[in-house]
Amino acid sequence: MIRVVVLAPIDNSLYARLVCFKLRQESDVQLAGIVVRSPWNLNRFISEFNRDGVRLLRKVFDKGIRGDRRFVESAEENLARLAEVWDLPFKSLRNLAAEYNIPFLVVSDHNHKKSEEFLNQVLPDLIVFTGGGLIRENILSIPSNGIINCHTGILPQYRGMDVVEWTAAENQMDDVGFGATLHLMDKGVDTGPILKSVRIDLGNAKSFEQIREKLEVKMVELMLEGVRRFRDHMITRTNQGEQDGRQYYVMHPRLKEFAKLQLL
Amino acid sequence: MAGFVDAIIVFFDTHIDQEDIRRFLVKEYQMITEGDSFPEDVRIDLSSIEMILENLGWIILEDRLPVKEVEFISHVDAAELWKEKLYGDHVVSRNVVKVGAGENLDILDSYSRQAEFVRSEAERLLRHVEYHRRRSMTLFSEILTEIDSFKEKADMAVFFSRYALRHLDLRFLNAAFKLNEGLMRIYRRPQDLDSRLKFLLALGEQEKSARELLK
Repeated sequence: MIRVVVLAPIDNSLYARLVCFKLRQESDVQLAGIVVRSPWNLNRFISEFNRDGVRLLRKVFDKGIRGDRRFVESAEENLARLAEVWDLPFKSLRNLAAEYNIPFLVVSDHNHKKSEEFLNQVLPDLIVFTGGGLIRENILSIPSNGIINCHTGILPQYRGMDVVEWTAAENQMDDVGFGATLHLMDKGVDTGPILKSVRIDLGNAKSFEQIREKLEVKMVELMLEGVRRFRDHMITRTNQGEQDGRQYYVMHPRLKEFAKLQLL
Repeated sequence: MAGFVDAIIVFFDTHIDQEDIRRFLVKEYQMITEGDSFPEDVRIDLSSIEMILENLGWIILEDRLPVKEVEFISHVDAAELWKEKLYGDHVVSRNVVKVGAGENLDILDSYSRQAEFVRSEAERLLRHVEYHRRRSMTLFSEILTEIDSFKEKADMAVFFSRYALRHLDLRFLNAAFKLNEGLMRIYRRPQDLDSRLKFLLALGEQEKSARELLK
């Protein structure tokens, strides 16, 4: 039996809901807690606005207001389709936790004292991170097996932000490719030991949004596979050297335009 | 609703496209060169700007500005001395940026000196600028006037653009775009000639690198 806690970026995160829903059905996996970051946090807003500028509005609108409806116009496989196939009945993590009697906590920040106290009570073997900022040492050191995260790019080459676009801008679509990487988190950004990377076939995906949606589906599968491997003691870790890859940051609109042209 | 959100984003988005930059650079260059005498120390920057604008096809030069031959070796020596005086410290530490970082790293890099030092410190500066964005480069190792602080940022943007081109690393051009947009927001016309030229050079180097790297 492995005890797992899921950290989520927002209560209605479809990615987190799908992971939690499936973990609940896995044998010898106990979903021992769900910690959700509250959207109402001024520091978080300032920090994200500082990073994204006015484009933060799009993120708030898509994730906070449109929620699952943001996938409606998509032509490719995506999380909403996966939710239909799996018949996911829950609109929020709170509902899911209530239904299955799972301890549930809302925090302003995953590194907050409340979060630390909760995790120290639950003492998970593994934490599954589905988003919500950087994780500090006080949380990283709690689970005996560590914290797993799935990154929307191929590691170690593409660490950080907007890596789908960066892969196209640097014309690495064939050599490195688009993909997702399951890894253990450490103090750096996407620098922890790699557990597994998968590349995706672009299929009919013609935009970065569609590629990202395909990747999100892959990320759910990778997360679940990661938990099973920890449960079955079948984990192999590949450490990353600092200079094995580069750190990427939010892409400027002019470069994004260029990246789009590379993709076509 | 989605269209409304997009309209708000477009309205408030401060990013400046290439055509706006071209118009701004040409206009500023013309205003500056209306005068006919320039101190020797600003001629180098002005001459570099002229060459970039000409190569981009944005101006046609009839007469070149006479510029004295510069003893570059002394610049390299000065940059190496600056590096020695860091006493093993980093160019940015606890969000405090060492004065002269952009200019000296650019000189060292252009002469392929201290390659590992330049690489690691460039990476460190990139992280600082990208993480702190509008709040980056606000603290320096010395107390600077507003104009000197402006010039330090422009030097950094020049370094990032040139580094991007020399090392074919788009991440640095990405940061130069952002730094220059930040400078554009605080650029006020009458600044001293030196800082105006530094900013024009920063934009010119950005466009030169963009022309080469984004094709």
